[in-house]
Amino acid sequence: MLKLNAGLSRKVGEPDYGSRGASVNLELEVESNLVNDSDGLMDRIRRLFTLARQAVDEELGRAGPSSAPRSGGNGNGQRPVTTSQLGAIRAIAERLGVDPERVTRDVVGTGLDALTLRQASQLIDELKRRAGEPAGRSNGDRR
Amino acid sequence: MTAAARSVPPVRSLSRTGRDYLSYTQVTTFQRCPLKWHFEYVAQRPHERVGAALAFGSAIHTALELHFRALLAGCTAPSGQELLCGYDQAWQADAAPPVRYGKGESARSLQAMASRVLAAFTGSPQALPGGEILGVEEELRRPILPGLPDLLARLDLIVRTDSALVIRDFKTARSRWTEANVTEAAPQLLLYGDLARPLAEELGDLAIRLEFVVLTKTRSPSVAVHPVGLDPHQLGRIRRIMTQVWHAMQTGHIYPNPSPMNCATCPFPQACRTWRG
Repeated sequence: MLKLNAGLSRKVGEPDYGSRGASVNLELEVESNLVNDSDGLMDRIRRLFTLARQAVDEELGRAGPSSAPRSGGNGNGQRPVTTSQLGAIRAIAERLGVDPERVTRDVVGTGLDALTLRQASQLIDELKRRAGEPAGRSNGDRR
Repeated sequence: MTAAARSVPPVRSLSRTGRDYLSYTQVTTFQRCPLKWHFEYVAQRPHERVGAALAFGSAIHTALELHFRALLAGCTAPSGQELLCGYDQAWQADAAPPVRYGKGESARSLQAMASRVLAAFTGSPQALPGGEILGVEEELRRPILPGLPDLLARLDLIVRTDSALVIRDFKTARSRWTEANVTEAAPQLLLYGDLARPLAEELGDLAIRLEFVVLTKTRSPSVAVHPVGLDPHQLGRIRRIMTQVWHAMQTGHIYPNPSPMNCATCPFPQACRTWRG
């Protein structure tokens, strides 16, 4: 008998510089002849990690508002930043020569990992203002 | 997310579809030809060829993505030449398998077409999102149907206006869309709207507006907006269809569905011909 052991840990940011984490370790006994079937073995390992990932996601999703999966949503009123907003924050921060994590904490009082959709909008406006670009609800205006 | 909408365990989904989620494309692929679906998602065969229309549409999407990402990041809108560079790079990446061109088409003629299409786009009001961009090629994923894997979609553009959350999907087409085209494509946007509902709720229960933006591949390309009404009956229907298709996928009854429309653009012609059943 062959034993597979898959472990996964994840930490998410919380308001006021806090964080919360979850980890899971799964052990599974599989047929020993799988050692001769590398594709089959890899498939079982992938499945084990998928299960571990789902368990961690569920745990973090259940425990608090800031743990919703990015863009996935859990309907709890604290929608996380979209990946597009996050990319924009990083891009503008880079242009300004500032650390995105630090400027996020300075402006909205929380880390990038815990940003909500509204906070991200507010931060993007502020960063654009600092960059001397028009901010506000019309970020599509052509220049 | 509704309390009832628990997705199926990912392992089951993985073993059936090769992925731990379901996409609208996956469902419509199965509807059109279960064997193509099998090759694509279960066997994960490399494509033997790629249709020029598909590679073109994909490369245009990359150029539009470049445009909107620049706007979101507060940059000046890229020039037509910069957008065309984005198109070229995506074309090179997508056209790795042999490209199957239509009559009179070539990589060069399609690049010239791309230049015209992108010029029409940048000169149209659709180049201005008319609100705050929240997502560009944004991946949304959540369980929306009980007993089914999560639905995953990549939304071309999500814009917040004062009164609505606008979900915009860009299409390239040989000619202007008719009402029948919009009706046929509407289920995709209805599902995307459903997927984006939590975003609208977060933003104070904004109304959701769904729009197709169709760019025509014609001598003088046009850019037209086609709104899609939020029809709950239609949404219910597509949700039921997705459930049925998911159950059909699980039965493992795979068969080819040959037709001039399906086969002309199929990336697996050789594999299909040699498939023993």
